[in-house]
Amino acid sequence: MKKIIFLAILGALLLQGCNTAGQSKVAASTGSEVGKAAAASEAAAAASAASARQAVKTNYNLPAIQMDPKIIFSSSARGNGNCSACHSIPANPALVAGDMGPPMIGMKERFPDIKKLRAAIADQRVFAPDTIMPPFGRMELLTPAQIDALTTYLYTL
Amino acid sequence: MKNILVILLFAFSASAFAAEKTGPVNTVGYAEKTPEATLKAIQDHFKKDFPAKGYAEIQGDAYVNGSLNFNKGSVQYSKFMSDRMAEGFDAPVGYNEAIAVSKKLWEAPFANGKKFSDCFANGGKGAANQYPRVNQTSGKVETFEGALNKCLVANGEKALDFGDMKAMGALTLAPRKLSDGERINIVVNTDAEKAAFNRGKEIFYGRLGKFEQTCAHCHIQKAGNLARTEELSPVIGQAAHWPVFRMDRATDGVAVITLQKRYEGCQNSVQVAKPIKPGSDASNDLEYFHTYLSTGLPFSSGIFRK
Repeated sequence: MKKIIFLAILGALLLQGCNTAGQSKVAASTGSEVGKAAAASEAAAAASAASARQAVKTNYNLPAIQMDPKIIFSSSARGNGNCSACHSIPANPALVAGDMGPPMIGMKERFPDIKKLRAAIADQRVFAPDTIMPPFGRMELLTPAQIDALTTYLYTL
Repeated sequence: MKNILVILLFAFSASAFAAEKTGPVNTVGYAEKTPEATLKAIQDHFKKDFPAKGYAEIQGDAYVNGSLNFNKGSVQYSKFMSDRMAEGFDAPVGYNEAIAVSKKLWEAPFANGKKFSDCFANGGKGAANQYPRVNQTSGKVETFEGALNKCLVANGEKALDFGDMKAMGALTLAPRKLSDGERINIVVNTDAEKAAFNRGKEIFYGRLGKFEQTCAHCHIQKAGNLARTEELSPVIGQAAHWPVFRMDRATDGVAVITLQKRYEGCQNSVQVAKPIKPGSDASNDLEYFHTYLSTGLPFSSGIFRK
């Protein structure tokens, strides 16, 4: 019973979220120039309302998990790696980066086994007990999927 | 339904299993047993390390300039801001306000007619440089901010929040200025002092937060290195220049900040769940150890730092 009520409320909320989208169709069907202009302005209004609703909606959603390894590497926003605070990428000199860690170059030569590179991102303390590098995997600063994406990207450098 | 709940519960509690692995980092100075040897090891390291990183060796009082030693642009910017602060009419937002609050709090009489300056010898001249010090009976570290609050309470006033920069932070400006130019002189002799030094040292070299980083990582091991765009300052000299005016992004001006408030900022950067708070015993211990490392350097309060 509870399940049914829950689904009904969810359904009602979803419907409410969609009900303004179809309004401009009425104006568009009039055919006149005025009607077209009105339709265009209404469509614009509907679009901006939709985007406003989207903005409000996203506030209630969990933040999307960033999966672009280049952004994970360079962004300092929570949920990203902020790797470039310490590591530069010589292949991308435009990237503003720190120099506390080694530059990301020749990764295949430095890590013949890609698994070791992944493990180092996950917890470098395993390999260097006194390292400054945060344990991105063990402390869940990044998700396993993000670390996979990052590892694949870094291996191309 | 129950199964779903169990799965959800498990998913949310998974993060609780990711426990921080704390413990000290064995970098320069940690293994040394005495305060003197600790400072010597760090000094010797910087002597070799900065030229190796492409900088000139930092000499004597220049240590107070911190990361400005590594970047000419930072020196120019700092001079530009300091000039604006000194001239008054073009002062960055927040500067004149803080100075006015400080003057008012420091000089206005309490309800009983007494003033802050009555709590300290010589009207407060040189008083700030008597701290931090160790109370030989309780073994606790006493700070200058603590003494200001003690003065308030002794005169029937309410103590200020150590973390409130608009009140406590601004207040410290005027009295700390009265010690400017004096040399920091912390001598660690008694057992109580040694114990306080060691407690502070453990915090300085101890891993903190989700990042599991330490003060020593950035300010000994990586001092002079770039954290994205900013050179990290060396630990020596850091404790000599508080409070500072730092850039305040919210107002595009400056905001006053005390040393212990800065500790909180560092801890937020490395995602410490429960940071040690300004005015806490742990913060005081850290200040004691930290200030010892600036022994011999001149007190230089109220300066500008990015």
